[in-house]
Amino acid sequence: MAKPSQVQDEELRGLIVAARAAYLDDRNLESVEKSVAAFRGLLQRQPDFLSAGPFAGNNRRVFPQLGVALKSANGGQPEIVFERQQFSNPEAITFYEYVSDCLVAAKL
Amino acid sequence: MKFGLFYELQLPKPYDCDTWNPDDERRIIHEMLEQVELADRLGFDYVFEVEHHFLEEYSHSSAPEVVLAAASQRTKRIRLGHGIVHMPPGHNHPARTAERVATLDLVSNGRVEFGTGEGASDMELGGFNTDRGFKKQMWEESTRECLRMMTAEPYAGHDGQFLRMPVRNVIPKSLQKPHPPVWVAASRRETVMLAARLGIGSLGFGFETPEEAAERIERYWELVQEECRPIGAAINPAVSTVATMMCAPTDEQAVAQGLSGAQFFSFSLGRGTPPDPPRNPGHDHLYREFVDSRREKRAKPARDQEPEDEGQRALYRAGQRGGFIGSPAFIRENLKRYEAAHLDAMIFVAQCGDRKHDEIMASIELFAKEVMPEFQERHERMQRPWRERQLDGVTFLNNSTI
Repeated sequence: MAKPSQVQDEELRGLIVAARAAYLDDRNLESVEKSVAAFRGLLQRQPDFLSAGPFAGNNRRVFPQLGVALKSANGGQPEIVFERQQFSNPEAITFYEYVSDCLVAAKL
Repeated sequence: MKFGLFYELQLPKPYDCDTWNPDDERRIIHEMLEQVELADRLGFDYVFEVEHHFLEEYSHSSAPEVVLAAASQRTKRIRLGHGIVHMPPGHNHPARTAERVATLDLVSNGRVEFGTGEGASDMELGGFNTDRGFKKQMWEESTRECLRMMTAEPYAGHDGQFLRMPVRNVIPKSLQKPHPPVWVAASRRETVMLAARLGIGSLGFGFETPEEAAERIERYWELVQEECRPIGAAINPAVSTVATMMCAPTDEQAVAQGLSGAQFFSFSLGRGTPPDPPRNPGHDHLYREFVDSRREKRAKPARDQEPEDEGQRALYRAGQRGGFIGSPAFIRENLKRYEAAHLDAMIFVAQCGDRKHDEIMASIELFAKEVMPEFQERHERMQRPWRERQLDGVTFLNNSTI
């Protein structure tokens, strides 16, 4: 059960708290940007998160395919690309929930 | 816990023929109506019927409002659920959805549950030229506007990203006020949490384990209290999940009668979703592929791991024996684990694959007589007061039928 207060990494907690504040205020693009920035931070800290982390294998959770693409790169870290600059509130919430769960599962 | 039946109207082609028998589509609809009539008489709370398009053999239920209207004339009490209506406007214009849902509510004397969703398969999204990347936006905009159409006199009109409509009074209005209880199909955890924030019921298609359900339900109710901004004029706070069921006097009988159907359920839905091969409209024979693949698999070691992909994992679970293909005692013990997690409703897929009508009828009857009553009794005595505690301080109009 992921909540911002459960994220220990100060920088990542700040991003996810900001993502929540933004979606609550209907600043949806900003919210998605903050959530994605937190996810990038997770991948920097744990480069094998997607391949061997707690959401790999039987517990795999799929990155939301809602205007932001997670593209795998040969041998390197996956690239995260914004495909548009407009997001709805449900989309912002979806990214927030996904990234929050990932951060808590990664014990960051 | 409350109970429902869930219908895809599955229709496998006969193994030795390249197409269905001429009477098969009529037969499967009338068998469903008989099953729903029996379920109503025995005290089931809900029947949900899907809307799917172009998914041959997997689902011949493209006009559920027609079948549910027929069911309404053969039943007295059971709630009639769309499970779900495709909300992208290219599939159903929101005004037409508002009209149909309201009319069904009038025909059924106020028994409609309004399930909503985005559509998921490539066959359906592609068939209506819906961009997968935008389907959640389409769902939200169309659902919000549809609910306004159902309540406003007149509807003020809308100039949005996916819907433009001038001022009109959308009629008729539903019997249930302000509108029927609203649900969303939730195959991902994120959607369950979105449902809480929008004040609508979660119709779970993730085939969640009791442990997963417990975690989701706890967080769902926290969010109802903390962040709910209703999408409609009334909230429907509720968490349900869908599972395949076959109840028989012994576990062995239940597996013999029900496992193959559950496996076809997941096999046929997975078809067309990568990594499975794409569908070939008008030419596929999924049932033959399914039977042949099972014969091949018998010679191979069983899969010891669930699929990695979330969607594939749900399908895999749907095709397993799970907790609800067994004797009354087996099903009862497994249901208790969901009851302990405070699940509001368990919705059973009874008709699927090559299951036989008379065996489905017997399964519905045995479950209703041997298992259901104690859970319904505890729902009134324990779950309902628990729900009231979760809603303490929540001031939105609540029209949930849980």
